[in-house]
Amino acid sequence: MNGVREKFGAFIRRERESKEIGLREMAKIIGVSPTYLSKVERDEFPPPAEDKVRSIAGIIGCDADDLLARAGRVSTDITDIIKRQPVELASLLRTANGLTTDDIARLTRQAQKAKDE
Amino acid sequence: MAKRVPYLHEEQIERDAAALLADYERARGVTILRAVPIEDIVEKYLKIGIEFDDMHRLSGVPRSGLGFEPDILGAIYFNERRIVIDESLDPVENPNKEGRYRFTLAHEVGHWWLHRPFFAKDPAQASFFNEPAPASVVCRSSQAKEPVEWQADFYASSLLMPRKVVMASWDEMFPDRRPRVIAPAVPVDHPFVELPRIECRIGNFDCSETDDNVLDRVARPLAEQFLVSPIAMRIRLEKLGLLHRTVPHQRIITGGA
Repeated sequence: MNGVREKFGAFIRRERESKEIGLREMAKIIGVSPTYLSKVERDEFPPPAEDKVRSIAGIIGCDADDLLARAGRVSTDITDIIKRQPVELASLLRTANGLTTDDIARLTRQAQKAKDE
Repeated sequence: MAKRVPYLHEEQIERDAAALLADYERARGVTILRAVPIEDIVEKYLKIGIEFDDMHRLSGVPRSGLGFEPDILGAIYFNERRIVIDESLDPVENPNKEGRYRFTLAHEVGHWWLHRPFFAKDPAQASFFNEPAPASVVCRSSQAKEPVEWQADFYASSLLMPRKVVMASWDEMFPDRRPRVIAPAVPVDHPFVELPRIECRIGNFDCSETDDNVLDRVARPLAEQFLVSPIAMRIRLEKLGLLHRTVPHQRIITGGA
């Protein structure tokens, strides 16, 4: 694994350019000025609000939760879920911490099965 | 100090700009009939990134002059393939700067095509350690008359207002296809200067128009079609011989000193 994760701004710029989306074009879609987006892409400004990060994820075609994590955030629906059952879910997350991606996927499938039953 | 570059004839610069447009049209399968899609050309065809920043802060040069208007409007980094435009020209935050923003972009493309070979091996462009490399060309309004800047300006003018397309628009606007002549409305009262009697022709009428009138009546509608400033359009119309400006003649002094 690569130790250093690409910063939010550099990542969205690279993805935007690879998909041939103009700076002004993307700024318009997410409702900000090109100057603001330019500074976010240079990582001079912090990542924008969650709704805009989600919008960017949709434009560049990446997972919104992954992009939010890159922005140093957790989706508000996740924090709301944890707040509703803080003890049980915190325990579940701490236990699941360290599992492989495949293990977590298996656990998710089991959870889904339990919910469906 | 502005970089010294070889002399380039206007026709050559215009040919270069027309060649880029023709290549773009071929590659995209489009025909440009009015406003040149300069952002598309820069970002998607030439693959040069566009950024906005405070150019004076970036260059470490304080703003000076009347109203602290920025003198540095853009810069290009050849090696990194990026253009940085001064944020005062952000066309979304300042819609009235759309024309100047587009012209500055086209001006930087001019440096890219005309001057890149002369900067490519410039040791001043080398980046030491992890320091960001300096801009290849920093464009200052106050240096507009330097050959390197003048050439890029003329390239921008030719790129955004292509001869054939402007001519076609002119013919639509004035079906008689005749050039228009501007002359000062106020006579010049000076012992060494005189104006010819017939200076201006609008349709079949002889008359005079001020520069402002010409800007509003002739240059502005075309400027709006091409998304350039009315002044840039007026200069281009004059260059294309569609607008003529009468120049006061010096009176020949015959009666001795």
